Amino acid sequence: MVPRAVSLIAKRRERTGGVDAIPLVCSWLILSVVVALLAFVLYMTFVPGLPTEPGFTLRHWSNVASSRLLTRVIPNTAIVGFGTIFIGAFFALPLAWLLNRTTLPFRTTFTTIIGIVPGIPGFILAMGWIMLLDERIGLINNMVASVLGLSSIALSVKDSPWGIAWVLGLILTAPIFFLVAGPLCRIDPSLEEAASVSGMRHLTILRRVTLPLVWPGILGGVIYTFMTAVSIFEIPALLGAASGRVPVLASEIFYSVRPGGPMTATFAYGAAGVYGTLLAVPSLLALYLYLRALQQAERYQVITGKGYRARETDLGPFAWVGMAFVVLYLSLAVGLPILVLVWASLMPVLQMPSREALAKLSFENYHGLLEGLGGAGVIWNTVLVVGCVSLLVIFFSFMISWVVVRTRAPSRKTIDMLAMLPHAIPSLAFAFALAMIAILASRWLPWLPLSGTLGIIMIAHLINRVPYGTRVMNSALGQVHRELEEIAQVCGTRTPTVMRRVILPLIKPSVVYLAVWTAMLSFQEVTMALFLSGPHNSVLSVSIWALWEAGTLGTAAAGAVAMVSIMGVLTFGVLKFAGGSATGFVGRGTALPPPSEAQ
Amino acid sequence: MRTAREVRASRSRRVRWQILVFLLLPAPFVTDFDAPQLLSGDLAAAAESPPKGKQALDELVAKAKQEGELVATIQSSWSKGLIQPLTDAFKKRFGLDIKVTIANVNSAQHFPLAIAETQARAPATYDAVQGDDAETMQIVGAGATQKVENWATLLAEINPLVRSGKVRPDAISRGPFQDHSFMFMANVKQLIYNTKSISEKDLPRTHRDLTDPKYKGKFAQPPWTSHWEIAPVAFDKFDKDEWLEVVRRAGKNTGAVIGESAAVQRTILGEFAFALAQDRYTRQIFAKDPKAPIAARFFEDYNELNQVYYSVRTRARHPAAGTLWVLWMTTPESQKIWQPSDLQAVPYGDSQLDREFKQNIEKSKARVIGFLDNEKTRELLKWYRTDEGRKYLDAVARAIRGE
Repeated sequence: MVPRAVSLIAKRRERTGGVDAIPLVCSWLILSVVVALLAFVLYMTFVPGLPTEPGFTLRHWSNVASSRLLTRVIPNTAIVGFGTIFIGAFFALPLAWLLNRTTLPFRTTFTTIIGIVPGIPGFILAMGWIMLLDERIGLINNMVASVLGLSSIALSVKDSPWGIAWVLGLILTAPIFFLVAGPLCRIDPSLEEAASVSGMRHLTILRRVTLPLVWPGILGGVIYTFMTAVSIFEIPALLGAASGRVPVLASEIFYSVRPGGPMTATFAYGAAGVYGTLLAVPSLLALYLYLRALQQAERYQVITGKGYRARETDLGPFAWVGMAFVVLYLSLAVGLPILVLVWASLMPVLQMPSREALAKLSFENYHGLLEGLGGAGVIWNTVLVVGCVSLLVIFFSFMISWVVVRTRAPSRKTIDMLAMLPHAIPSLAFAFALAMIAILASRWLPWLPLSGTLGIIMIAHLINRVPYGTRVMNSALGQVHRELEEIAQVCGTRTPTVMRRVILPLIKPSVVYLAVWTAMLSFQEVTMALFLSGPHNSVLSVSIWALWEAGTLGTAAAGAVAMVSIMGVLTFGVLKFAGGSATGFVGRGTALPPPSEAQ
Repeated sequence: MRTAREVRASRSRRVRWQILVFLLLPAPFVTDFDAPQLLSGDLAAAAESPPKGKQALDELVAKAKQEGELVATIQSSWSKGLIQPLTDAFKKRFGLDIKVTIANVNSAQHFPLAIAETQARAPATYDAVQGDDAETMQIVGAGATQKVENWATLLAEINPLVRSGKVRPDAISRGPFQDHSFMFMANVKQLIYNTKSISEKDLPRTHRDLTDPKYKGKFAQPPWTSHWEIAPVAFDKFDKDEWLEVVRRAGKNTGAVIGESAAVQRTILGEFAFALAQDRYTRQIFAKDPKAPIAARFFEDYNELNQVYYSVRTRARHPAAGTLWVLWMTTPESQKIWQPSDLQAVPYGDSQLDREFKQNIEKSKARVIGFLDNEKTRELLKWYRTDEGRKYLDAVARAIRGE
C-alpha cells in the first residue's frame, strides 16, 4: 500500500516538477528584489554620475584596471580571504566536533560564548590585537622583549595581510562553527558505528565518515567566510588598508565611494560597482563548486525516520586537551576583546594598563548610558529590526531552500545561485542602491514608507542574510530524507503542514542557530544601517559606532559591554529554550521528533 | 520752510549716518576687512530690526506652527544628552508647540545623499543640516540649500549679539554662503602629540617636515584632505605637482590613515607619537582626564580654520521651522547649552572658551587660515567645486595614502 502511494506521489512530482506554488512565489518575491538591486548596482557602473542622471560611460571599468590592482590589491585580498578561511577552519572544525559530538563539559556555556563573538564590534577586536601585538605598544611584544633583553620585537598585526587574516579568522570562526555544528549533531550514528565495527579508528572515522557527511556545511561555511572576509572594510582599514600599505578590494571600494572625504562629497559608486563585480567573480566560482557538491545532496541525507540518535564520543583522559583548545580559542577571540572593552569602558581616556592608569578607573562612562545611546526609542528600534529580520530570514530562507533542495523545479539552480549572490556584492553597494531607490520613491511614490524607515533597514538586512540563511537551510534540508515527507503526504498531509509539522521540528537546531546568528549579525551590523539611517530609524549599533567615531570611546565601550552582555544572556536563553534542557544545547533532544510525528 | 522732498532727503541722510555708526561699532570679532559688505538693504533691515524684524519673525513663527514639525541634524560628535535641552530651549524661545526631531548626523556621510535628493527633486530628509566649509560648499554648490529671505533682519531679531551690534551679520553668513548658510562654531586643524612619546622640540614645524624619514610610522592623519587643502593660498609660490609630491611622501611616512578621533585615541595609547587633528580633541581629552599625556601645537606654515555652518535644505518639508533653527543655533542661548559639552569655539562668541580660543591663536602667532578669510581663499573654495579642483583633491586624497 505504502510503496504504491509513494510511487503515486513520485508520479505526481514528475508531472508538476515537484514544485509547490507557495515556496516558489515566496522565493521569487525576495529574489526579484535581489535581482533588481543587483541590476541597479551593475547599471551604476555604466553611468557617469549619479544613477538619476543620464549618460553612458565605460570610464569606471577602465579606471580600476591598473597594475596596482593586479600586483597589490588582488594578491592582498586573496591572502586575506584564504588566510581567514585557514584560521577560521583551524579553530571552527575541531570546536564544532568537540562541542557537538563529544562529552566535553561546559558545552552549553562554550557554545553560548562562541555565539557572542559576532556581536563584538570588529574594530574593538582589532584595537585589542593592536594593544597586544604591536612593535611600540604591544603587551606581548614588551613581555617577550623584556624576557629576551631586547628593546622591541618587530611583530605586529598591522600592515600585513596575514595580520588582517589572523584577526578576521578569529571573528569568522563562529560562522563556520555554526554552519558545521548543525549538520554535525544530526549525523546518523549508525554510519559511524558501522565504521567502528569495521575496525576503523576514531580519527579515521572522523576523516572518512564524519567529515564527508558534513562536507556541504563545511563548504558553505568556507565560501561564506571567504566572501565575508574579502568584503569587510573596518578591520583591514584599522590594520593597514587605510594607510595604503595593505590595499584590499574592500578598502578600494570604500575609497572609491568617498575618494576625498568631505571635500568631494559626491559618490563614485560606479567604481564601487566595478569593484563589487570583481569581488563577485571568485565568489561565483566558489558558488559553482558549492552547487556541484549539492548536486549529490542525497549522499548527505543522514536523518531518516529510522532510529535517529546522535552519538557522543567520550574523550576520556584527552578531555583536558579538548578543553585547552576551546579555552585557547575563547581567550583569543572573546576573552581579549571583552577585556579590552571592559578596560576601555572604565577609563576616562583609553590608555595602556599601568599603575597610573589603574588609579583612573571609574564607572563614569556607564552613567546616563541609555540616554547617551539615544534612549528607549533606539532600543525599541533595535529589538524590532533584530526580531523581524530573524523571522523574515528564516521564512524566506526556508522557502528558497525548499524549492532548491526538495523540488525539481527547473529554476531551482538559478534560484539557489541568486540567493547566494547578495553575499558576493558588498553590502555598501546594496545599501546605496536601496537608498537611491528610497529617494526616488519619496518623489514618485510618497505613500511608500521606505526612506528613513525601519523597513528599509530590514530589507537590506534580509537581502544580506539570505545567502547565509539558505546555506544553513540547504544543509539542514539536505540531511532530511524525502521518505519522511512522502510518508506524511501519503497520509494526506498538505505541503505547508508537512513543512510545519514534520520538517521544521527535524531541522529545529538549524533554525534556532539561524535565528540566533541572524539576530546577532543584525544587532551589530553598522555599515548598511549607517547608510540607511535617518532621524527616526536609528539602531543601537549605529549609536555605538557614532560614539566611537565621535571620539567618546569610553561611552562607546560601555555601550558595547552592555550590548555583548545582552547578547550573551539572549543567546544563552534562546539556546537553552530550544535545547529543552541545560545539557542539550543545540536542541539535541528535539532533533529526534516525537514518535507521533515521526511515524 | 523745507519741502517734503527735503525732509525725506534729510531723514535718508540721517539713516545713512546711523548705518555708518552701526558699522563702526566695536565688533570683537571683525578680523576680515576683505569680506564683502552687506547689501545696503540688509543693513537697513538690520538697523530697522525692532518693528520690521519682529513682524518678519512673527510671520516665520506662525508658519513654523503651521508646519508643526522640525527635523534637524546636530554634529555626530555631540552628546545625545544635548538634544532635549536644545529642543526645549528652541521651542520656548519661539513659543512653539511642534514636534522636534534632532539627530546626530555625520555630514560627510549624509551630504552625498542630500545632493542625490536634490538632483532627484525629492523632499529633503532633514529641514536643517550642518557641515563645515568644504561640506557646505558642496551642498550650496549643488543647490541643496535654500536662500533664507530677510536673513539679516531675522538674525538681528533672534541673535542678541547681532541686535546689539557686537557682531556683524556678515561674520555669520558671508562669501559664497551668504543668504544660505550660517556659521555657528569653528575649530583649528593642528598637531596633537603624546608628551611621553615625543618632545615638543622634536615635532615637525611645517607640513613639509612630515616627509622627514625620522617621522616614518610615528604619526596618524585622517583620510580627508582638510589638513592639506588650504595650502594653495598659504604659500606665495605654490606648485600643485610639487605639493602633491609632499603630500605623497608624508603619506608614505604615515603610520595610519584613520579618523581624527581614533588617531588621537591611539596617540594617547602611545601607538603614534602625534596626530593631525582638530584642536577641540585636546580640550575634550583634558576635560575627561586632566592628566592625559597629550599636548597640542600649531604648524608654523599654516593651520586651517574649519568653520561649521547650518543651512536650510532645498525642498525641506518644514522650511520655516528649519530657518528658525539655523538662525537660533547662532545665538549665545544655544551656545550655552552645547559648548560646555562639545568644547568647540564660536569665533564671534564671547564665552571664556571663545576668548581662550582667540588668545591661544594670537599668543602662538599661528598662521590660521579659513576658507572665507579673503577673496583668494574664497576663490580656492569655489575652484574646488570645479572638475579640475575635484581632480586635484582626489589626487591629494590618494597621496595621503601614499599613492
